[in-house]
Parts: sequence; C-alpha cells; structure tokens
Amino acid sequence: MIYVVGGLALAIIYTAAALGIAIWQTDLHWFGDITLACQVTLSPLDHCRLDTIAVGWETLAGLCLAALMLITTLLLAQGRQTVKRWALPPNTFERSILYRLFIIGVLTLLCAHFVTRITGPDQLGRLAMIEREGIFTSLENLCWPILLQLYVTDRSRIGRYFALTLLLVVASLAFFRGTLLLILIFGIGFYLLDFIWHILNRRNHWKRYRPILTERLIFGIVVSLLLIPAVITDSASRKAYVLSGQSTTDISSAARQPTSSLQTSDPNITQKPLLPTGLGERQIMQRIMSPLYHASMARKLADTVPPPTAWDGLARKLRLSKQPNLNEHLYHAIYPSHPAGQTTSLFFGEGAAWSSAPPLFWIISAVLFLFLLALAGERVGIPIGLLVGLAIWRGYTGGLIDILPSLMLQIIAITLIAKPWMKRMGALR
Amino acid sequence: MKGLQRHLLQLMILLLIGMTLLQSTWVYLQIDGAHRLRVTYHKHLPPNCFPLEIQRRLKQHLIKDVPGITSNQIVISSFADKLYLSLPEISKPRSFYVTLESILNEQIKCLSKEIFSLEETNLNQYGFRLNQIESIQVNSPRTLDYVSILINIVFCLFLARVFLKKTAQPPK
Repeated sequence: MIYVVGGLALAIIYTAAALGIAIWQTDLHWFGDITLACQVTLSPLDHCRLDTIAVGWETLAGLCLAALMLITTLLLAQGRQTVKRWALPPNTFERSILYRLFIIGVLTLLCAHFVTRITGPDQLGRLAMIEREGIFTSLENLCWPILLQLYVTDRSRIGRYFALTLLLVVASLAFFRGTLLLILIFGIGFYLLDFIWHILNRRNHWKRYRPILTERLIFGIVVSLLLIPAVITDSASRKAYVLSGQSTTDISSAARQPTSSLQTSDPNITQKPLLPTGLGERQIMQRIMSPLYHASMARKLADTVPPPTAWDGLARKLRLSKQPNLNEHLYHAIYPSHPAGQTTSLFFGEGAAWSSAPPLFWIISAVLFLFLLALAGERVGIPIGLLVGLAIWRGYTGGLIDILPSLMLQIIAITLIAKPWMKRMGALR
Repeated sequence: MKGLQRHLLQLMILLLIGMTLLQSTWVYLQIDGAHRLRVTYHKHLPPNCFPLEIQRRLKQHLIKDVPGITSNQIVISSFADKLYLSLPEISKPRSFYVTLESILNEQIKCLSKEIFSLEETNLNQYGFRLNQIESIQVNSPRTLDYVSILINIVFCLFLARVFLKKTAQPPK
C-alpha cells in the first residue's frame, strides 16, 4: 500500500507547490500558456489568479481529506491483510505462458518502435516525431506500469532485472520526462521505502535482508545515474530548442515572451522586454502551475460551453470515438490552431465539468475508489498496489475517466499473469 | 478492540455518512436556479484580438439593462469561433439578444478602429452573429454525482464491516 499512499502524497506535494507558486507569482504576464488559458474564459489575469488559488485550496483540502481517510483506514484495518507480499512466485519467468507472451509482446513493440525511430526522416521536430510514433508511445504507456509492477513484485531475480531492462529501453524511447521521473519515484524511491518498511517490521531478520537491501540500493543508484542525467539533458535540449526560436509549434514557445497588451486585462500595460534569463525557471513554474489554471478554466468553461461527456472520454480512450475528451476539448480551447494535445485539468476539472456538486466531493470519491480497488486487489492476492498508486498520480493530473480504461487493461494483464500462481495458492476459487 | 481505534472508526464512518448526505443534499437542493440561459454568438474577430474590453462593456450593459442580475451571475467565454453567454434565466425576449448582437458589433468596430487602426472597409468582415438561445438545466444531478455517492456508500460499508469485525474480536 506504500505505492498508493506515495501516489497520493505526490499529488498533495505537487498541489501544495503549485498553490504556493500561484500565490507567490502575482504577475502572470510572463507565463504565456497560463495567460492563454485565462483568456478562454475572458478572465482578467488577477481574477483568473484568484480563482485558481481557490481551486488550489479546494484540491488540496480534498486530497488531504482523502489521505486522512486512507491512512486511518490502513492503520485500523491492519491485521486483515490477506495479500502475500512479493506475490508472484520465484519461477514466474520460467513457467507462466502468459508472462512469456507478455514479454514477447513488449519486446516486439520496442523493436518496432526502435526501427520506426531510426528509419524516420532526419530533421523531424519533436511534435512531428510524437505524432509519427504516437501508437507506439500509447502502447508503451500501457505497458511500462505493468513492467514496473512486475519489477517490484517478482521474487525471481532474473524476472525482476529483465523487467527493469525493458523499463530502461522504454525510458530511452520515451518522449516525456514524466515517464522517466515516475519510473525513478515509484520504481526506485517507493520500492526501497517499501522494502525498508518491510525490514523494520521484521527486525529479527535484519541479517537475512541486508544483502538484498544492499543489492537494491546499488541498483537504485545505477538506475538513477542513468535516468537523472537523461532528464536533465532532455530539459536542456528543450530549453535550447525554445531559445533558438525553432519551436514555433511547441506550446512552450508561448512562454518565451509576455503576451501582448491587447490580450491582457489591462490595456495600459506596455510590452515588457524579453528577459533572456530566468526562462528555465519560468517554464518550470508555469509547468507546475498550469494544471491548477486548467482546472479553473474547466470549471468556468463548463458554465457556458457544453463539455464532452464522461462516455465520450471513455470511448475516446478506447479508440472507439474521434470526439475529443475533456482534456482535448480544453486544449483546443486554449490552442485552437494546434492539431492535437491535452491539458491536465486534475480531478477538480473533471468534477467541475461533470458533477453538479462542488468538485471537492469528486476529488475524495475518486481517490477512495482507487483505494478500494487496491484493497480489493490485495484481498484476492493480485499485486496491483503500484498500478493503483501510479493511477492516483496520473488520475490526479488527467482525471479518473482518463486513466480508467488503461488501468483496467493493466489490472487484467497482471491478473492473467498472476492467475496460475493464485490458483495454486488458493486465492482464486 | 482498543477504545481509540473504535472511536476513530466511528468518526470516519460518521464523516463519510456526513459527506454523502451533504453531497446528496447539495445535489438535490441547490440554491441557484435550476435553469440558466445560454446565448451563443458566432464571432469573427481581427487576428489576436481578444475581447476583454467587449466583455467588460457587455457585462455593464447587461447589469444596467436587466435589474436583479449581478456581475458574478454572468459568465462569458470564448471557444473556437463562438462567444458564449451564460445568464440566470430571465424573461427577456429574443429581440433583446438581437439588440445585444448589434451592440457587440458596434463595440468591436470601435475597438478595431481604436486599437488595430483598421480601415473602414475591413471592419465589415468582423463581428458577432446571434446563433442560439437555449435554456439549460444546470444543477440537475449528473452521472458523476451518483457515482461519487455510490463510492462513498461502498467505502462506508467497508469501514462498517471493519468496525464490526473489530468489535467482534475478543479482547486480548
């Protein structure tokens, strides 16, 4: 359950940081994307900021209440845990046909993605590459949480390291820094924390666990040394790309300069000179604050423009419809000329668009739903803690409906892989 | 079962029941009117023109012309090629919004001259056109409300089960 608590803690920390920056940054003229989001609802920037701060407080309150319920329940329900820790058997890799099929599928996918990448035309921009390799990225986004779950659950060393190797290949092909960071946080950070917690509860077995802990620490450091520079290099290259002015289609280019005075709430504001310094910091601050502004925009826009329904969102995620989902709808409102993209409107935006009650209720309910799912998995012995923890984080940013289809597919995959073992252990009758 | 644990569980169950009741009450007994008026205008504006000034003037006009309406009750947004107005349901005839269309067009012409320095010949291609006036039910319970209440009830039942199991345990 450490992954579930960790996912929620991550959401709370992120919201607190975003709220802090939103309160601190009173002049929004330097944040191009945020200014554009405010313009959709025709809000003067200071009003927009105050609305967003209110959204931040409500989101934080909802998440903290959910965390309080979750932790209290975990503490009170102690002793009724039925899941076997390190649930998959040591011999999964050798014996499970479904596991082998899954691994073969992932290997085929990665090879196909790699071949597409190297055979692609030179001088292709980042957005064009994302569009070209979109199908591979989507499938990899579906697979890597399963690999991560296998990595933290599998008892066999070979199975664990094989999953880790595939994860690193996925990370090397990924376009988004978020994937790398989530692998680091959940696969290294929370994994070690979980193991340390496990040892602390069994103090008498310290000598037995020490070599395993040492080995995991070493692996954690090695993987961090591989991924952290990759994240830094990617960020630096994007900054150079934006500064060079080539990024005319990149949304972050809007942050390069303040918006025109015609587009702001105050017509007397004159255009400020472009500050060459502080671009990176501004971009990071903008990136952190944006979800709160998107959520605020979702609430205001829902009052006037009918949003796509939850069913539209589900159908879109399952590729059954071409109608935009809520986040695509919001993205289109901000960037009408951009062909594709999604905002991050949080649980809050989802609640504001599709519920008539205050979004606070939906924030709590969405977290509780995912928590109940993790408890149910634990009850029947399916190891889905990490998947649900990741879903809390991803759902927090994009909404529950956005992640529900992929989460269900991932849970089905893990269940099928774990099924032979579960039958043997009598967990399934 | 320890006393503190029992009290905590009771508190949690009460909190959840309270939250569910509050949400249900909120959903069914909303103070704000159940219907709102949505007026949609097609818009075609000069490039990069964003009508914040128009919004301000429009709000002023509506507040002046419709007694009892406040600034907070008027929501205006711009999406794709349309301008959306959301207002409390008021008994204004369609002609009122047609008049509003001409006022909007006058304002955009003024702004285009003042800010964009557009020539008179170019001004005619920009403006607003009334598209739709509809009455929408805004505060009716929606699917997500039912889902949310259901999740709360299930979680509450789960906690009640834990509570009953704990109370059934013999003291150590």
